[in-house]
Amino acid sequence: MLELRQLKKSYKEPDGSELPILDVPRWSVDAGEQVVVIGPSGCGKTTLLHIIAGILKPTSGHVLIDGWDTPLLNESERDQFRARRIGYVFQTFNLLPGFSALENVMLGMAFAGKGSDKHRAVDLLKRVGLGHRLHHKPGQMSVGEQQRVSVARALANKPKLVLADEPTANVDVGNQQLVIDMLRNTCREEEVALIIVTHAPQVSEQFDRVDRLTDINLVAKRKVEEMEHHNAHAQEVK
Amino acid sequence: MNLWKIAYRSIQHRTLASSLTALSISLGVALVVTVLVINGVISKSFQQGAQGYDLILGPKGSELELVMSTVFYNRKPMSLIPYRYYDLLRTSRYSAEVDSAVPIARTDNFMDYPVIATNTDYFRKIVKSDGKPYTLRDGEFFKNTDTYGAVIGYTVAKQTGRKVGDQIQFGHSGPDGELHEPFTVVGVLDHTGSPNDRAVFVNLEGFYKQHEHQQSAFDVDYSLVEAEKQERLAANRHGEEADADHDHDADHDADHEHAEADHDHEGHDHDGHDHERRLSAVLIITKEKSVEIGATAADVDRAMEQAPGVEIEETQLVSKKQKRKVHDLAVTALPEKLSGELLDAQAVAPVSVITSFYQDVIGNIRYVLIIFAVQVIIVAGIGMMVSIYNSMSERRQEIAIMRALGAKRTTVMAIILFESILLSLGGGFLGLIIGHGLAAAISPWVMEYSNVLIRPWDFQLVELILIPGLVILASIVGYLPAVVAYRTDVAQSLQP
Repeated sequence: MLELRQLKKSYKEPDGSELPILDVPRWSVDAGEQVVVIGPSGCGKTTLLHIIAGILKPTSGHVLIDGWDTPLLNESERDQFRARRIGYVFQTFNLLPGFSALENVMLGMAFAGKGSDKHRAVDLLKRVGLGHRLHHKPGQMSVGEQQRVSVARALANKPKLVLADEPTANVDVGNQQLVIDMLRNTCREEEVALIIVTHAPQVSEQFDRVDRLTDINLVAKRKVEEMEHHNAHAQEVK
Repeated sequence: MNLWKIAYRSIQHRTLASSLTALSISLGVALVVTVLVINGVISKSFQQGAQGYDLILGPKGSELELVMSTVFYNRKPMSLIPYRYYDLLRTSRYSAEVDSAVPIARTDNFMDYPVIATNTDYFRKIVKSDGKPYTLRDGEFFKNTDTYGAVIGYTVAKQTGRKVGDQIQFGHSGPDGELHEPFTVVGVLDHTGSPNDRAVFVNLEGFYKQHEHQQSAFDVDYSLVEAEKQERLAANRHGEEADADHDHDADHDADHEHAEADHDHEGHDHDGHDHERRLSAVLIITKEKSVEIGATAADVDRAMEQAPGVEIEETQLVSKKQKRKVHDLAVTALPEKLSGELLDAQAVAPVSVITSFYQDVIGNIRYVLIIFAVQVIIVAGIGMMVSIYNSMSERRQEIAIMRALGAKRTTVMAIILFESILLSLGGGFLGLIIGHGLAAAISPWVMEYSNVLIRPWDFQLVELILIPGLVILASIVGYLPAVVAYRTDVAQSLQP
């Protein structure tokens, strides 16, 4: 379903030199599979998700989703591809404050160009336990409820892949498991592949497949090795 | 959910800022609407003044002054014309062109309201701007035999409280310190929406009688001065010639009958009496010519070449348009004929004088006001641009979210433009309501002072231009914020 090949991403430094962020020789996720990617802060987790979603373009390499090599698409085509085939759950929910829960879910449908399906939006909100909060705006909901709206929105366009970036990081402990359960269950019901990026062990330990970004991303691997080497050297000096 | 609704929700989310932005637009639009409504009032009041007659015969001089003095009564006449010109207009010399002539003597004011001395023809022959005859709210029109009869306008009655049976005095006191004999109100006019609402009409005969008794009691001397005796002699020659053709119709006879009956001045015969009198103007209603049915275009042209004065068989009429053409030509040619024959007088078509005055003076003021109002709208539009632009910094994340959900760059750009259009249209409609509401609020005041009835909720066609105008303005001012939205860096703006 998803395959990354020879994927590289780097940013230009102010002095003109290249700052490498990602170097993924190969990584793949099957259709309907649920994968957790863990790793320390600053190892390129969000950048990886942005590249898979087509928000960012890689410096080089291939991102194959459902047979499409998305970096080859132009920006407008990538936007359309993202709207139709990829759902995104953000760490900070990113709901539009002026829109009700129902409208936030339907917003994603509006951009996919398939027309708004109100029944599906209501159904999704009911499935995440918010049937009674359809017309509430984000400011009138708890953080847990907001993240559940975000989950419903990610699934609105019947995507093939859902990307969740630290979905429980800003949710209270009581709601964290609820969010994970809903995300996993709805993705399973809809046969959607799920990639969750997190550094919370209580989340990762629930999944069969847990990939370390330091194993996937050679830049992160080198960084960790350098850090370990530096720490070992510091120990020797002591 | 379409893009318009998304834009509307964004506006709704920023209620206060959006309301203030729309309000600034609405004030500009309200100003434009108010200018248009006031312009309509001014235009209407000008147009309503000179309805019901085609020409004004008055003393030579400024055409505008003659029209202003005769139509709007806003100044006293600087000079006068002999009464015999009025008689002359009713002879066969002018029978081909002149249907009716009505004498006017604009004299002193009664409590700031102009007094117009005339005869019954004013109310019988002249129609109002709506083509209907003058009607009375109370009483009756004075008859020519009511020497001291007066009819007062709607506003005069309302403001002074004068009613039928009350007496009216105007002018100064005479040498003996006493005011002359008063006129008695016999009728009160219905509202006309013309300067006549603020006028007092008195019987010309009574006015002359007073005047001949107490010349010094009036600002304008309507009696013949010694210096004009020579001219009078020449005029008499003219008059004799005219008298030979004089077609004393029943109406004319009636007019003179009373004059003889009432006239008690020693040594004044009928003819001499009229010739000693003077008028400020004569209102002329021209005849409508007609040509035979089946007339070819050449016939009509020939008839028009011969007009005025052309006699055409009135069997059946050709098209109204052709009739109108012949009629218009007669009206166009009559002033020349009159000016050629009456050396110290001129005949002017009030409508054309008023129209050109309106276009030259009032029209320019209107354009200045509209330009000013449009500038206000543009400034408000720039304010709207600043407001939306400033909101963009806090909306970068919203835009990034939309982009992350699959919105194209052009889509978010369109949403911002739609937002700008909705704000300006909302402000525009609010402005229309405020503008017309303002017109409704001032309409009683305008009615009081200009006698023009404002229909504040009557929309003018030109107001429709405001809608596409506002859409264009909104598209221009919304462009810069829309470009900001277009260029938003999604990944960076999504950073928590």
